[in-house]
Amino acid sequence: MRRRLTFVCLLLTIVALGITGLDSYTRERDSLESSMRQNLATMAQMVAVNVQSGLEFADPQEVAHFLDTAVKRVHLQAAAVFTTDGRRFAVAGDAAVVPAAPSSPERVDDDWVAIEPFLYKDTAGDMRTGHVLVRASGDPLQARIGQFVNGLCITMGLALVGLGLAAHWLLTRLLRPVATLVETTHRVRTTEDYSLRARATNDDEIGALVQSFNAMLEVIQERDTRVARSAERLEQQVRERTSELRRALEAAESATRAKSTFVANMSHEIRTPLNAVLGMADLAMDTEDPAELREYLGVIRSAGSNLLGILCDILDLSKIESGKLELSNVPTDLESLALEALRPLTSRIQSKDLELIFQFDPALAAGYLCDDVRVRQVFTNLVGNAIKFTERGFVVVRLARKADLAGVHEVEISVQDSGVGIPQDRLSAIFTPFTQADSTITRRFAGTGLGLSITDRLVRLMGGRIEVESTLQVGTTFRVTLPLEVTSSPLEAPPLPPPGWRIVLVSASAKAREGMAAIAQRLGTQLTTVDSIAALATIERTGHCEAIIVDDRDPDHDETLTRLVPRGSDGVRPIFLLTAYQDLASTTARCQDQHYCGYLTKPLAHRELAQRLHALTADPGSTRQARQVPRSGNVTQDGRKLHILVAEDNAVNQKLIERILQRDGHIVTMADNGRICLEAHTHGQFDLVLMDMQMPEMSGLEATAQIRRNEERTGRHIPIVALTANTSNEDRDACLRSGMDDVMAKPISIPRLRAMLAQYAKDLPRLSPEAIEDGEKESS
Amino acid sequence: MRWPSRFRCAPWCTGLLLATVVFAQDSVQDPEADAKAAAVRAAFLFKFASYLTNELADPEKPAAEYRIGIVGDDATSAIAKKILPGKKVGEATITVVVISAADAEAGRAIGKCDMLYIAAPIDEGSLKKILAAHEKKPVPTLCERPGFAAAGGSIQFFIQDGGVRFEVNKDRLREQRIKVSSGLLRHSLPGPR
Repeated sequence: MRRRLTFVCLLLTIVALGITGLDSYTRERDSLESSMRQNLATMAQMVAVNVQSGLEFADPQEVAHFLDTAVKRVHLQAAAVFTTDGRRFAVAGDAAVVPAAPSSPERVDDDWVAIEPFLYKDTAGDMRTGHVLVRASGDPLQARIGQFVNGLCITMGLALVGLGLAAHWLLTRLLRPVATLVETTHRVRTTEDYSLRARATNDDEIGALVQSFNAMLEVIQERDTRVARSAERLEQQVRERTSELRRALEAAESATRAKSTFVANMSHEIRTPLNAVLGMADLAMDTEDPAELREYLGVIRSAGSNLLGILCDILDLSKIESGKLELSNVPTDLESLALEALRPLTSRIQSKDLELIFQFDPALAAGYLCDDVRVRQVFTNLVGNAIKFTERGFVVVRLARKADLAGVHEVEISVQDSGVGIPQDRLSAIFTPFTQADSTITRRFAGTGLGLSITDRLVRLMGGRIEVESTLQVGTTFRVTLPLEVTSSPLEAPPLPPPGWRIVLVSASAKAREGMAAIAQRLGTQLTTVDSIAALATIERTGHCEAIIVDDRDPDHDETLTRLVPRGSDGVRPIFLLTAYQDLASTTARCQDQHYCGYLTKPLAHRELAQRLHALTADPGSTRQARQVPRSGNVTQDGRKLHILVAEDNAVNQKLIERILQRDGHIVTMADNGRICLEAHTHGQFDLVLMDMQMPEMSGLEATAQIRRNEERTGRHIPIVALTANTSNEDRDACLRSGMDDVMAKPISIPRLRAMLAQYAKDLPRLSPEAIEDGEKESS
Repeated sequence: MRWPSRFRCAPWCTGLLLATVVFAQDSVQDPEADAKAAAVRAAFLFKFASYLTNELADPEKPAAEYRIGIVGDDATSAIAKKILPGKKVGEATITVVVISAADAEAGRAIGKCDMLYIAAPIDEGSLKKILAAHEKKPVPTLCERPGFAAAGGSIQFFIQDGGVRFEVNKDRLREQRIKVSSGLLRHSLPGPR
């Protein structure tokens, strides 16, 4: 481009200089020629003026002299004066170049000729016209033109060189920013980096162009930035929406799964006690033994109670969800309420060998206005939950006053366990209905998942809040804070034992001893604690005591105890057995047999102890408690004996199916879960397996699948029939896919069960008598 | 320069020869040439009017006529009287006024003419009186009498190389307050000789 522009500039310069030079040459030549012409004309006129008198006075010599002077002075070639008749009057210079007559072209060869007419008076006085002719050489003119041309050429050459250099400099200066701009444009195009900027060097049009280009880049960059931001925003929105949708989808799926699971669980939970009820009812209808009948009825009652609890949970949740649950306000002794709620749970505590610790803050008021039923429900749910998820260790229940706000106490109910704990990411989900911390928990621990959600809603209905802290494999603590108004009509205070009374506690549990110390302090009695009955001998020898509280379930220790504590005047030993709720019957029997005063239920409430001690002072015999101890019955055998392995986790159902099968003469081996079932099958010989589907540790599906895999090595095939409360088609298909041969739904129909067993018995080889005998021994 | 002895008389002889030739020339009278010379002198009178200007005249009021006075008779005056009247000098018309010698001597020609031609045959005494009368008057005097300019005349005609020439007494014309054109002076002899 620069070369083209340079060439164009030079060409234009040459053309311009050429035109200018030609014009200057023409003008100069014309000017010189005109000057020559005018000079000659002037010379001719001057000569004419000066020679006029010469003609008038007929003085050719003087005229010739004048002409000669003019020729010499002005460097003319020749000069001549012609008279009116065309005769040469006088001549000077080169006469040869003077024409004979006063007529000549302006230019002859390169010479110039001027002829000037003039008037003069002849000798007669008449006016005549003469002519002056002057001729000058054209050489000086040509020389001057030549000099001018030379000067012009030199000037043009210098101008051309100068203009060329100027054009080169100017183009270089002008095109440098353009080149920079082009380079920047190229870089922007190749790198797509719109943050690049061209450098504006001059404040001229190109500088304005560079600035415009930079402004355009800035606009593009801003636009790109906006587009990028918009894209990023859109992507962020898409991500957020996608995440929200995913969460919503997951929540919906989770809710769907939870509801499906809930429905399945509910079905299972309902069918399980229902199965017990129906089965036990069938058994009861076939028995004549009152004791056996009573046992069946007890199971039926327990199962019905569980069923009622489930239904109550569902109804409570439904009421709370629909806003129809109304709370009452009655004066309540929180301690008694808590203990009454805890007592039914003590059997579970004891069966799992857990330690239940109850701590009551003396700062709490004697009575509060609250809905005692719902507060008890809160206790039951939280503690039941803690027991359910705790395999070993303890469950601590605390009641404490946190704040006193003008007659309204902030009461904190905390339940701490040493159970499996809850993952942190599931803490917020545990209060959601139909949800447990882990779906495997349902299989492992069973339950509807409604307890905590109902508790949460009840607490919120009562204006409180519930918090949970948990560490996996360490334990969980639920804290319920309730604003409870102190009742203006305090409950009747329990009667205190006489001052100075001394009581002795025999308990191996340090926690129990600590709890008892607090109660004794509240009652104003002296307390002596020992950790064994043997240690009681020392106490008996050292001093008197009004009552002995024995926390010992072993009846074998009664002999030592009765030896150490003699009967009183009323024939009763001042001994209270500290017992769990479910051991009331046996404890009552012990009390009757050993003449103990009675029993105290765990956990011990100070009000109950005060009443018992008070009663002891008033009428020692009135404290006696009694209950018939149930007796176990016998079963009969009928038909072919089958050795049946039953996998069932529910104790009631275990008993039910065991009794059904044993009454028909079958040998039953019971497994509490799939793992035990698998081990039993591996080490024993069975004709058939009745497999529950949903069991802790290992489900029936897993156990069946493993049994089938084991059979691939032995080549045997044992019939496995599902006996499950999961009755959906999906569950049935799952059972069959796992390798089961048939599916029977709970509640168990005895006729159908017998028919099924008869069908499978036909195809089974008979077991050896030794195997049957081993089975009977194992079963017994 | 010294001449050789035998040529010591040469310059004298040459001078004598030339004088002879000159006198011979003067003595030879050609009537046709004289007439022609008279006509030329008459024409010169007319032409002088264009080259002489009265400084005292009002240039804003040019005269309607230019009067040429003639004193005496000769060939020139005769021809002048014949050819000059009616000719134009600028815007003025030439008239010829004949003036007697007595009037001229008495200076009465002054005011009657703008130029006074004195015929050559006039006697010496009258000529002196006339010249004296017009010595400082704005009337130039002209005559072909030899020695006229030296005697105080304004312009004197003479014959040279067969042609009529004239001698201009610039001092006299200056005294007479007459301005002489350079064109006239270029063709005259400076005088008086």
